[in-house]
Amino acid sequence: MDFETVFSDVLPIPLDEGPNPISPIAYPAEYSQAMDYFRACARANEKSQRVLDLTAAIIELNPAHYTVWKVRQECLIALNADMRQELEYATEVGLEHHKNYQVWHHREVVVTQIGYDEAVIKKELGYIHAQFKIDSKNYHAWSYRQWLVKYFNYWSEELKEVDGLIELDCRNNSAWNHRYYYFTNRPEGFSDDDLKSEITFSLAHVRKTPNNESPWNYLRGISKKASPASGIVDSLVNDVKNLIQENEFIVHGASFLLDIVESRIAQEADESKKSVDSQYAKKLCNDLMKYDIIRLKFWTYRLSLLS
Amino acid sequence: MTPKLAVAKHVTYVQELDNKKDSFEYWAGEHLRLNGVYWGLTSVHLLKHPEALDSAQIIEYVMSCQHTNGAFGGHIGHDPHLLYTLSAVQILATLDALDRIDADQIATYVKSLQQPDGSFSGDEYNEIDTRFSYCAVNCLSLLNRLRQPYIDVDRAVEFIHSCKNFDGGYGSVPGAESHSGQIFCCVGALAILGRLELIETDRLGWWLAERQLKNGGLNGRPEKLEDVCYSWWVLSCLSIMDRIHWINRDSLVDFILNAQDTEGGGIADRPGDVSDVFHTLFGVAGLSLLGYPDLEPVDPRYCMPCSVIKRLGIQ
Repeated sequence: MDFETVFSDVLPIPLDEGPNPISPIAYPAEYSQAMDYFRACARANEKSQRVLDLTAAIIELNPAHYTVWKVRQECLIALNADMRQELEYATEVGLEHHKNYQVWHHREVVVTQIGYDEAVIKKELGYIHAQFKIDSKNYHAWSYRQWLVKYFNYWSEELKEVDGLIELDCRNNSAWNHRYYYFTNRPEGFSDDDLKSEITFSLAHVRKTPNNESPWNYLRGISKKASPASGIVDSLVNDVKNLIQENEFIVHGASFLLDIVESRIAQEADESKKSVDSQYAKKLCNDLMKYDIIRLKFWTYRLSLLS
Repeated sequence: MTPKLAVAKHVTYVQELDNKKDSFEYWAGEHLRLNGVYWGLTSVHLLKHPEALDSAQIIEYVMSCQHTNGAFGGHIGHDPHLLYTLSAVQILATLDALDRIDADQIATYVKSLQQPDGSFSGDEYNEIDTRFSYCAVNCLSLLNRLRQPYIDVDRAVEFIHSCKNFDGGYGSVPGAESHSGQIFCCVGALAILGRLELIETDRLGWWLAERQLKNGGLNGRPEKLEDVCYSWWVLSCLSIMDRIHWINRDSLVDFILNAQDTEGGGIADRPGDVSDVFHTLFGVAGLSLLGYPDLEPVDPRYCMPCSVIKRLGIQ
């Protein structure tokens, strides 16, 4: 962009760092010049195509400049710009800067301006999918996806996406978190039947990777959703006990059982059942102290809670 | 063999940051310049060399980033933002210069960022994140304005609590994945607000202790790489919850010390990488929490020297 020609009627405003700047920054000339015109246009509150182009030029040099993004949005709205085209632009920048807060937030602003449009939502989900191919744990991408599907109440692709990502990498904690988000936020809710099939799904994964923290945490989270009379938790406890016996010691499995058995002790009225559970919980603690030495003090503390 | 903490090298490293203005990293990082000053200043204070930086010069620089509404931008001429307003207040508090600012005016600015659900945005741009809840609470606490009419404390607590996940951790917004950095923001804010009873201490404590890997380092989420900055995000929470002994101290100390640049100074994200001022602060602060000798004690809620928090009369 030839700034001097485009902004020939504008007096650029240089950065005022005061008389004795503690640390004057040596900006590259192009960036410095672009910012001088940007300051002038911002002060004049100019919202125009040329300012829009100027923001793109600055973003190319410094995509984390939050004020420039804000002015860009104001220009887009003032010019009644094509927001679908703007998404293409955000994609271009976003594929280069995966973890830039501003460009992810920009998508949210632009999509909100467009409003409900299934084609746009699908395209956004496709864009997020492309980001997952680069980094399937990108916190920004996941947060944006959660916002998008909830805002537009559009849940139809979520389970398929999460299934695919867990299939690819069952240690992807972000995907497990989104699985929980899906079941607990979609309007249909989470029935005991859903819970049963999710338990089957998670157990299949812990069988494959017993030391994978994510499905164990997921199991812990969903098992709290069981209706007390359903007996689901008791049968889960038996399944996990068997699993532990079939394998070498599983720290996460034992820790999971300890949590559940502890809460069962707290609720149980029958003293003899309580005592059986209590003995079992102590055994789990002792095993954990032996096998998870790095967290020895934690398990010692847990054992002390039982006596 | 693990080296000792190279105190003198780190102090020189921070002092010389200001001479590297022509490097690409420096100017591209200008939008968080004020954060950088806070990281460097707090580092030298924790290293017990507060004289290493010129206080008067820093105060003048900070004041030159202030806007007429009381808030601060990331650098001279940059728009106001909560992230930089917190850094500015932290710097001025550390240098005992809070009399340079109008606390009521800043508190009014922070209030203007609170949303009806109790959350905070970082500026008028409306991005919501528990990071901003933390910034608001920390900032107002340092200014002794943590009350009505400034912010609705109960609502702020409610929003943070709504970000608690099934694994006991916290994310950036309700439902977002637990992340050690966000957990620090939520636990830190709840600690400052005296609402630690909302935390599932044992559950969260275990999740945090699980962040320690075999090499001693801590990661931010399950199955992610270890990083020195998590020595701070994870340890500070364990310290707030009085559970710091749940992780293995010696192996973490070794991990941090091995991430030092013992020649050029500074600490990197992990052994073998290039050091930067951000990881320098969080490495040193982590060592301070772990009781490494000859360091100034750090307050786990504020990431500032305990002596400063005490001087401000904060319990």
